[in-house]
Amino acid sequence: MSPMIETLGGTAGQRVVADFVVMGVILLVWAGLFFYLFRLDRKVRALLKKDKTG
Amino acid sequence: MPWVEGVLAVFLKDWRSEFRTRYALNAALLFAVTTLVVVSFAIGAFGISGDLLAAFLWVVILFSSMAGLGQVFIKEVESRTFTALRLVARPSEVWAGKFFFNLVLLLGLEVIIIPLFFILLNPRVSDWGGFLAILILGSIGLAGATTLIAAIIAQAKGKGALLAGLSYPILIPLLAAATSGTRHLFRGDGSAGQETQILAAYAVVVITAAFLLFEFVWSE
Amino acid sequence: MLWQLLLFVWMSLVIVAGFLYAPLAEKLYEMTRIIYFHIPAAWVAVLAFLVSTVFSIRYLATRAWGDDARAAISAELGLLFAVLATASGAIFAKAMWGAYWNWDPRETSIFLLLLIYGAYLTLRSAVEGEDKRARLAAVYNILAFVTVPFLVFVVPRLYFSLHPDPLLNAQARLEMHPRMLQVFLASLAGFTMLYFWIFDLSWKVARLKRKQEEAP
Repeated sequence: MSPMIETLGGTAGQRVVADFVVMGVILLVWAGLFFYLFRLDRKVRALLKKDKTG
Repeated sequence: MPWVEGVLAVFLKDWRSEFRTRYALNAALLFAVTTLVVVSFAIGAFGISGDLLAAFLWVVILFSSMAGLGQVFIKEVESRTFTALRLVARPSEVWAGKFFFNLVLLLGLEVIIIPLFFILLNPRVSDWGGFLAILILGSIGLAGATTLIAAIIAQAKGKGALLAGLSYPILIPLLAAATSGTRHLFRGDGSAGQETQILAAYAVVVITAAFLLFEFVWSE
Repeated sequence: MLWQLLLFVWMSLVIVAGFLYAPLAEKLYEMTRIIYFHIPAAWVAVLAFLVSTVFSIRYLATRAWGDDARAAISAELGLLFAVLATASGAIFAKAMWGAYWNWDPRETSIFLLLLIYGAYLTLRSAVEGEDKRARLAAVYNILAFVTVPFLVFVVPRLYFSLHPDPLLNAQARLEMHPRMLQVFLASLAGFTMLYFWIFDLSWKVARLKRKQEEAP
């Protein structure tokens, strides 16, 4: 038994739900990070293009 | 001026000025002796194992180096002789001269510290030749790395504090090998051949790198 | 543009696969997923150091501010990943062997990398004058790089003779199930792409800032 499971306990069903929740949170964090970078990328690209033409 | 003479000139210059003030030597010696005495006192009648003694020895050597070996370039900056030295000597001569100076300083320091260490803390050495080899090779690597870093920090703000921070990551392999080898010799369980080789390799690598890189630190 | 969205989908799939597709490992159970984060992060931390050193060497040859800028960028990124790797490694160690920190060779190496990054960035902040800072930082970077082989190959050999390396043994026994390996490799690729993307972005930003400073 993993020490984590011993301390946190819960039924098997609860653990499965918790697993999904953790996965969801991680996906959200990744989405957040990604879209932040994506927006930044677009902004930077626009500024660089302006510099080339302007 | 042929190269060797240039190196000798730098070395002697530093030697003479150090001899007059003994600033670096005093700083390093004071630290080492104080630490040894305090630890010996704190331990009291209880012995400590060969493992700990080996580690302790090298920690003292390392920290004392930080106290004493950094001066070699800082003093040039502080006494404004930095530029003059740059004009007069070639980078390789400067590095070699100061490296040998630091090495002699370090070995001189150890001549005083090691006997004191043995008197106060009483380790047993199973192979004196091996022990001296580790000491000398370790000192060469230590002086080599520290001299280059000293040159770097002399041109930065907050010099003294930086020396330790910049040196430790670089010196960890040396510390690990030296401590491990010394541990074997204090415990008497086998030889320190592997560690000695590592120290030799480290010394060669670091000195070569420092020799090649110094020019970039020294000249603009 | 397209490859970025591809990266998004890729890493999202990796995350889902890590939870739903790959099996759990013995002893670790749910904590298994840390592997897909910790090891790629450590790998990127090392890669970033390599990149930083390459740009440092280039700088000494070209004396172009751009080379120094990229050396610094990679170092900052590397520091970030090194912190993530060290932290996740400690969690992994706790789950695997019960203690957050043991100074075993792998842990020591990643921590040392952290120290090197810290020292490098501290040095940069302590030197005045753009050219001097670039020059001195480049030298330190190269010197540090030269000692890394000792760290990675030599030091573990020393410790191995003293106490068996729990990490190496465990990883050998942690024979990765093929699915685990797939997710792991996919994560490795994703992390690497992410690093290059952030690096590229930071470099563009640095160039923009430079232009602003030079031509008001």
